[in-house]
Amino acid sequence: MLNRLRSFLRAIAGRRRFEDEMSAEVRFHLDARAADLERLGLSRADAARRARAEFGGVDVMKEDARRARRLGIVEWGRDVAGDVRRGCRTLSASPLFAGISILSMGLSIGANVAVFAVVDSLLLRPLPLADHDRLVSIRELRRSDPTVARPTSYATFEAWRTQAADAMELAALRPTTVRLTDGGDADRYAGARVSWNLFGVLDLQPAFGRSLISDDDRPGAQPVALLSDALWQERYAGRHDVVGSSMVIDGVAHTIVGIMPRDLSHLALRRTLFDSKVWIPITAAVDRDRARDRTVTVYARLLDDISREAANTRLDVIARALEASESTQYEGWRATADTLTVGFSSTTRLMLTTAMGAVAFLLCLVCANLASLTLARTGARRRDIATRLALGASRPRIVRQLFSETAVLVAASLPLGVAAAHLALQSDAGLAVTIGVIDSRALWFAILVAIGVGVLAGLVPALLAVRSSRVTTLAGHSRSHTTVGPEYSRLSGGLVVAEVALAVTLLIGASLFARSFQQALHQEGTFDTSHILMVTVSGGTGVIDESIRRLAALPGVLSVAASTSIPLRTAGARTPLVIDHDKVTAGNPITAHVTGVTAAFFESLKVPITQGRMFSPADVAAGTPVAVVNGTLARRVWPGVNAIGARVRIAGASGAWLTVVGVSEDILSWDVSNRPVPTVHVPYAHAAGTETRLIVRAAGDPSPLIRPARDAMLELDPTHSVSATTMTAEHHSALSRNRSLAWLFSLIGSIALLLASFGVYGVLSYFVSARTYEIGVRAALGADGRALVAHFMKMGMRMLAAGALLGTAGALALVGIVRGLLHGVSADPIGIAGVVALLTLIGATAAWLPAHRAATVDPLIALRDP
Amino acid sequence: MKPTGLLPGTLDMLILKAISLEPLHGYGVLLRIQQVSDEALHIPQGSLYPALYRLEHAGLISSEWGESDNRRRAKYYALTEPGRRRLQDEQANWNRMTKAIASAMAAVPGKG
Repeated sequence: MLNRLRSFLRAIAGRRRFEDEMSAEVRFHLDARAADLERLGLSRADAARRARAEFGGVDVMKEDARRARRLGIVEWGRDVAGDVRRGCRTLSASPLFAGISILSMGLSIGANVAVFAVVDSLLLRPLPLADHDRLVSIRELRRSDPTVARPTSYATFEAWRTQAADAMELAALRPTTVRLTDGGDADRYAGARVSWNLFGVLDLQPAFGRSLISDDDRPGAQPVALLSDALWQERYAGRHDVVGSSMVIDGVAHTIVGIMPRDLSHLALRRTLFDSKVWIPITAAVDRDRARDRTVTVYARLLDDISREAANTRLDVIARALEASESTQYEGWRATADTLTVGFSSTTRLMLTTAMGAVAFLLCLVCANLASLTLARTGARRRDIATRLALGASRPRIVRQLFSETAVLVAASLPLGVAAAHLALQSDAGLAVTIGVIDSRALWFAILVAIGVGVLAGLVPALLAVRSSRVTTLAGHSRSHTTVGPEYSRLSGGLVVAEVALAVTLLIGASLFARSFQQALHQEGTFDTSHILMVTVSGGTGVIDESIRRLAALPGVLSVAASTSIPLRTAGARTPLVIDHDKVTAGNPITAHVTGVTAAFFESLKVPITQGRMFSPADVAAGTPVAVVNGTLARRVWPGVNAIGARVRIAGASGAWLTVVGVSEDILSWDVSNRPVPTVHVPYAHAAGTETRLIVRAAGDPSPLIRPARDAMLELDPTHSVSATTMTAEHHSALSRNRSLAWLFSLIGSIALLLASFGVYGVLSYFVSARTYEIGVRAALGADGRALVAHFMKMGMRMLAAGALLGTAGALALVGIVRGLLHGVSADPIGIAGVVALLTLIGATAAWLPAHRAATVDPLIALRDP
Repeated sequence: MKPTGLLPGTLDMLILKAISLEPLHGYGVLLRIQQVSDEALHIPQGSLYPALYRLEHAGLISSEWGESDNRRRAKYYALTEPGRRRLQDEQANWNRMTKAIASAMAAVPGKG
């Protein structure tokens, strides 16, 4: 063993020396022989020639000698290299096959890697925070119904902080929108007001500068701010002198004390921080009295050897103490600490799972395609393989040679796939969730997938080919039966059926999602978005009347209204109501969305008032506490009774009882559930928030009004930040998930259909060429060409039909899984019919081409070459 | 004697035997085998050196550069201990086999 190693190493390291020595030995041998021959009487020249002739081929000997000195591996390596070269040569003889295979495999590997990267980032990886199992988020849950949570108020947070200080360190985060003015246009960014120790709790250190300290978080402290890496790059081009400079935030000069690092752009972390880009101390702008202002999220780090159970017990004690205290806002609520997971909605998870399924289907299809085509190609070479086996070639050797072709294809498609995935993620196309990088995990996944494809599509057919190439295929000309072994044609045919089934399933999925998108766009009951412009302004009550007046003055504007929020895209925060009604049960408080609106609100949205009336300017001017509730709330609280005249109060607020003067129709939300949220509309002046949404109804297309509206608002107060979009654009962006899925499935489905058709074509071509002899016989005997075409067409159509049936059944079975993503669409007979029609058209063409070729076979040529 | 070809597999054994008496260079091995077999065995020269390298790789012989009779540099091969053992094994095998074949060939009809 050691000798072998020594010899091997010497061979590798001392190759030069070995060659020289070998040459010297040969030379010595030849000279010695020539000398002996000379002694026997030959002339010098003759002796030399004779010696060389006796020796034989020196180079061949040297080759054998080299081989003898090597270990198996190096020789094996040379063999493999030879196989690869030969494989490349064979492939270059059929560039169409190679090109399509590489392209289709590359794209489907790429699709799988891209989806995997997204899923990995979102769902599989834990949060990149140290000791993240010590981190919790504390939420308030209703005692009677723990599925209902509410955001916390600052006062509650402070209570928790003081009373639980020995068990955990708490920090608060309040998302807000900040206006950054830098001597020019105001720009709006998502920001957050945070406790000074938030980043300490989350264990995130700034990349430059310092984090917040407790002195920053006191009333009256010098205003400071932390910037995110993204914002720093965008506004300051990554200049290092930014730390210490001043930035005007919401009209106040703040000193920038630090920049947070780039890996905060990890999606999970971004969501934890509510995607904020600027962080300011929270104390500076807290409205403790506004119990309705519940916008604080609380994170905590459990101190050592406090378990989560202990923490929860402590929080419970605190909650009860608070309940017992004066304030009614704590009634019926308790606090729990949950591990910090990134809360992706089940819908998002479902969407990601669906996307993964779709691309996995495509990959299976591509595998099946390649496998069936490889089977066809190796099938044509079975005679060749059988000959070689008979001559003594080893089976593994031949399998390796056959496999090397597929291996070359897979190896070529892998980098293509990775590049395609990278591009897809960078371009932020479709999925509306950006993650963005192909990292080592994704690369390993890609390699794994490639190996899987190679084995399934290459190794299995190669093994089959060698196994079924028996000596009997050599035995004479197989005239009485086809050279296609029965298991071969069954397998090839079966693979094609599978391909067609997969393609059909994907296409039916595409039609379902497309229908769902259509449905969502034109959902009955949602208001007509086509003439509405939405202008969002950050500002307070003061400017509302003036804003409305200015916007109304723009050309083509029919009416303008303002509201504090519209629960269209998300459910919106809900507040408990107290009902003045002796029938209400104490144990079931009603929560509703409260929004402040101006008089023209319902008119601008064209949402009718079904009972009663809207509040009048007189009501607003006199300050009468009035409200308009929506149908859902009315039916829930006052079923069967006229709601007009009933009274409600916002729980916890010091306001008066509101009298219901009208009931409006529901505004359906835009998400899949389309559920209307119980809503109470109060006069705008009584409910102003930090943001205002102005609804502008235009006579015609609202898009030309975007610029003028924005300008008008900025003119009013340049420090406001304004954004204006058409309602239709908002609607579209809200439906982007559905649209993306429709688009994804359509794309994949089309590729799938093309590949499946290619598969049908390939397999039928093989059948035709395998039976060329038999066809020739029939043709020579006068068989009708049409009958031949019909025969092969029938074969093809049978495969297509079987695939279509399987695919439709599969699609119907899988619909149940994706129901949560579909807007009430479950079966789509028109879509299915359309898919089948498309399949028949393309598939039939693919089947006809080789069938037609069969009919045009020249019997003379066919008979000559069995 | 008429020169005969080698039986497959016997080349290694013959080389080992040739070297067992004294270290030889490649050409010397050739001559020695011819000599002791009365010119009956002629080794194809193209297979000699590969066989030598193979045996050396397997550790059955060792090599060393030295000086030949006419003061020229040549590589001499010598038998190693494992080589000696292998030679004994091969010899024993060979004897067994030839005895068996000889007795099979000497069978006379009727004797079974």
